[in-house]
Amino acid sequence: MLAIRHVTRRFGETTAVDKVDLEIAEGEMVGVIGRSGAGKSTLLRMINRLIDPSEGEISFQGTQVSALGGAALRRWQRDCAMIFQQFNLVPRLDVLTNVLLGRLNHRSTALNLLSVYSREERLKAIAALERLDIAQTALQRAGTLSGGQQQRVAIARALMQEPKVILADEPIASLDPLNAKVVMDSLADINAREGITVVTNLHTLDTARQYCSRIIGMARGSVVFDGAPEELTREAVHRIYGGEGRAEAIPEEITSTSIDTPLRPQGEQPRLEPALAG
Amino acid sequence: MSVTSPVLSTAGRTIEAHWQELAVRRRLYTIGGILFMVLAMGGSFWFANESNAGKFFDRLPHVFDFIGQLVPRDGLELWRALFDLPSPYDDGSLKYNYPEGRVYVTESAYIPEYIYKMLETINIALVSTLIGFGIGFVLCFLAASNLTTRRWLRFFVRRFMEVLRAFPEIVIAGFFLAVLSLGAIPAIMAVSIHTIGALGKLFFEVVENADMRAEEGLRAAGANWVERVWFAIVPQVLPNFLSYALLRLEINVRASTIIGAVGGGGIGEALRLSISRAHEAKTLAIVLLLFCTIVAVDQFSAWLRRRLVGNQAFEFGG
Amino acid sequence: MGAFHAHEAEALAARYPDVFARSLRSRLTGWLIAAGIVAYFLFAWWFFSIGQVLANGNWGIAGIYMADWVSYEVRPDIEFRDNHLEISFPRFSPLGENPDPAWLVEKRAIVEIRPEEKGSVLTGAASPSGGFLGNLGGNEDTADESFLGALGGGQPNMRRTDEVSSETVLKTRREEAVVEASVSFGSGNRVDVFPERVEVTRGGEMLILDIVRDDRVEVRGPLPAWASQREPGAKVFVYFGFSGRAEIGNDEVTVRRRFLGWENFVFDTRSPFWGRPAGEVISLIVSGERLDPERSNAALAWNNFLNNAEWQHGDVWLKLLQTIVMAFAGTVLATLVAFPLSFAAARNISPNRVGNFVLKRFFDFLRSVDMLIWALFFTRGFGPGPLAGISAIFFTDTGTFGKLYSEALENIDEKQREGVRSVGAAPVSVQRYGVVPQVLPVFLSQSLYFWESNTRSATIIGAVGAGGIGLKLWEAMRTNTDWENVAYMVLLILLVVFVFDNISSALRRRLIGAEPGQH
Repeated sequence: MLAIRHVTRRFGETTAVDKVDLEIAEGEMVGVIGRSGAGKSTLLRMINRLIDPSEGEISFQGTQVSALGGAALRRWQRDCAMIFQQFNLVPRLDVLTNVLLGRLNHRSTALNLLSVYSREERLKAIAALERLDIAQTALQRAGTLSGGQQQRVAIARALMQEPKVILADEPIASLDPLNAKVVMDSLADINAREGITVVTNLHTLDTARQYCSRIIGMARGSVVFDGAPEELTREAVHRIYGGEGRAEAIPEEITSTSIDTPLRPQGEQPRLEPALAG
Repeated sequence: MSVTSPVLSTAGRTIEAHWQELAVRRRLYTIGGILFMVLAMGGSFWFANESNAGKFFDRLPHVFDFIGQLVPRDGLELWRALFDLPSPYDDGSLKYNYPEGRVYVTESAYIPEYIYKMLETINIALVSTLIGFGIGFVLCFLAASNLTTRRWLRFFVRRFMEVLRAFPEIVIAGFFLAVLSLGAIPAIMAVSIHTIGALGKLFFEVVENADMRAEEGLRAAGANWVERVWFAIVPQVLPNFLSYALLRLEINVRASTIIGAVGGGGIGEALRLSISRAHEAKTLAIVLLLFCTIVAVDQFSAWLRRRLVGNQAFEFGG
Repeated sequence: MGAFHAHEAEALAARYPDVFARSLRSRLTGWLIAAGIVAYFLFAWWFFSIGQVLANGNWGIAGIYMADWVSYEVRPDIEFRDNHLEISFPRFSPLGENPDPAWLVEKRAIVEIRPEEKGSVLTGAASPSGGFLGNLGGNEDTADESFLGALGGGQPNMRRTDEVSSETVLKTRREEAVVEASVSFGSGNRVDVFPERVEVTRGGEMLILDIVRDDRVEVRGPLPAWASQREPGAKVFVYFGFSGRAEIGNDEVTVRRRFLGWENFVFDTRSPFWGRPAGEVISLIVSGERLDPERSNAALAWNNFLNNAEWQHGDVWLKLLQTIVMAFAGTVLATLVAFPLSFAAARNISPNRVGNFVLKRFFDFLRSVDMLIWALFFTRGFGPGPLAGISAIFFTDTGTFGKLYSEALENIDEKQREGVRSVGAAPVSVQRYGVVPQVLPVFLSQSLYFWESNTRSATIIGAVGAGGIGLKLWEAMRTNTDWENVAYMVLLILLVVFVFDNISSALRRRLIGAEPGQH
């Protein structure tokens, strides 16, 4: 269980995250929504410890994550994979190497620097790529791929970390609707199959409704909504997104990226079939 | 057509007045700057002339005498000097003893003296560039503000590189000449130390401009500092680093020639000796060899840089 | 993601054969490059016979040279006499003419001085007051003797001739003389010299040496690690690390006591201000009575400072100014000449193809004939001095600037030029208003950059004969004794380069509004 208690983060005068209290059970698929600047991104970065909280504590399965440092911190970061809006791959390295970089914390630094990978590690990387349906790009430079492909490489890298939690910071904000769907489907698939907890920041309501079992709404650094997608009423949306006086001011469509034609008809799911039964 | 000044509104007049004021001030600055430069240059020349051994106007007619002194006894002498062939004018003096400099590789095959010395100089430059590249490479990441959060470390590394860069090469060469008495090591040390500083500075500026997203991605995956630098930063900056190193190689070929002239061996020393002894054919041969080498190195480096980083290769480094 | 079954793994590998084949090859390239670099270094090691040169290097002396940068030695000699000692300092000791340092304590007693065969009595005769203070008090002969005495070789002969001239004083006398001298090397380490033995203390250990005068030095007990002796009976060397060392011979003890700092940096020992504390010097300058009736104390102090025999401040500054002037004048001249030429060389400004080509090759020529060659030629032409340096920088940089400027011109924004041309401006005006405003900041920035780097180049071409601080540095280094002066000049050069570097990058930032280092 991932527990966040009274976590506050201040940048100078401004308070990005204000006394947030959350408990996320294992295997949950959580969507965090809110306007930009609501503190969603800061919250996720604090969980991964890319940013340190100013106050409060974060713990995972009894380990106080927010107090870790050095090698222990890096081990936590390995267990808590992160996916970024801008993919954050190494553009000049090939896709396979990028995926293998997910193994960095599993191995000795010397072997890493010499890029000596075992056959099994490479097989795993290929399997992860195949699962995301981009194995054919394995030898291309990551920078030459399209955004959607790059994000899938990033997910493959996250899988290589063998994480317990995946944090996704706006994973589909830079993608076109088609690719957004593929990426979200992958995340949902990983959550469903491996039972990995997924916490994802989303800026679109309907995506959150569609994929997440639990939605957390944030506004001005505080959690203002926490519940199942069905409980997300217009009033709740108004609390999250503010709106100019009237709840109806935010039609669902504004924050939607979905496309009308169903991409994946029921019963036909070849795309995300795992390469190997894992 | 008579020019009548247009009638201006109040606002227009203010702007006009302001513009005039600015123009006057700009002109004042320009005139002041020019005056300053003229005075500084005049003072400089007066001072240089006063403290020079020969006076400018006395020597001016003779400055290009050296061209006359460079004419060998016949055109073939140049080639004889360059390739260490025996000269028909050989009178036992140093002036025509070309074959004595031969460096024999086998019984009969030899490398001509000056070509051997040129190779020495090029190797000094190459070794120094490699050493400077290696150490500058390691240091630059410690000096970059986006990778090293410890202020004192960054400050220390930067000052260290500045001192290496500004430290007079001749002193390093002189010191090692005093300790080691001969050989190319003083030159290698001097040029390498300067290269570390110069490349380190250029490198850390490149690193500071690097895209940090990949680094963040690896940090989030639990990579340690060395791994982040190696995998996230190095692939990005390596082409630029190599391009700068090639530029440095061009500069270092020249620098090691000069260091050679003050005692570091190689072609520089041969040149200084032959000029001071007025050996016209030898001097001409060395100048020709040096000229061709520098042109060749420059062309090679420019070609390689263009391949590495495209047309942004036309930068210069100190 | 669990482990694979073997057949699944095979199937996967078979599906992507290129991945598994190629990663091997690409991994190999890295190793090959590394191996190539290692092989090249090995080649260079052999080519320059680095191992041999390093092994033959005089590394012991390197430490002393390094220490000389920031410290100085005082070298008193303590000579053994029949039943007393004589202490002398070399003539140009940093302690001045009458040294009486606190770290050298002597004990005096009345002793009977017998006339010696070797004529040391001459000293006694020349200075009836006795003691080394009297000896050195303006007596050139004695000072000379001890100075030469340190050299060893010709010593007995010399003294014998001295003896002949001093036949008259072959009588035993009772006189006060030094019977014990103790040299402190700090923190309890010291050398105690008695007429017949020497006791050396270092770090609680004590070494006692018996002196058989003019014959041998006997070591009592084993020799500690900090002492050495080539063969039994020979000179013993004792080392005290940075604080110095002593050579104990059978006729004298040569002490080399090292002190941190630059000795007599402001005034040399001949100056009337020498040895006075700073407050006293200032009050003398401000309100003291004239030390020299010819001029004020301030003028005297300034003159003494500039002409400090050891540090030569005036000359060093003059030479430094020469170097600065070389770089400045050379760079400015090159800028002025390259500016119009670059317009003629730029393809888009002057359409004359032949002219462009010839000019560009001319720039390449100037640049590729190295600055060294120009410097050597002009040193022959103008004689050593800044004129040669200015010319060398001017020639090389005209080539460099010409190339850089014309490249900048060829990359200008054509729209601005068209705009000016469209109003019907004359060709010169088109360049003046359509081109110059675009390129001037770039040109100046490049010149400024080279101004700073030329300051460094000017130092080094100075050493090949173009004058300036480079030559002075080179001369100071050649003697191998003036490393502190080298350090002083290096410090000045570093200072100048830093100041110029900052001025140049500040100006460049103002000119092109960019970070330094981006061009």
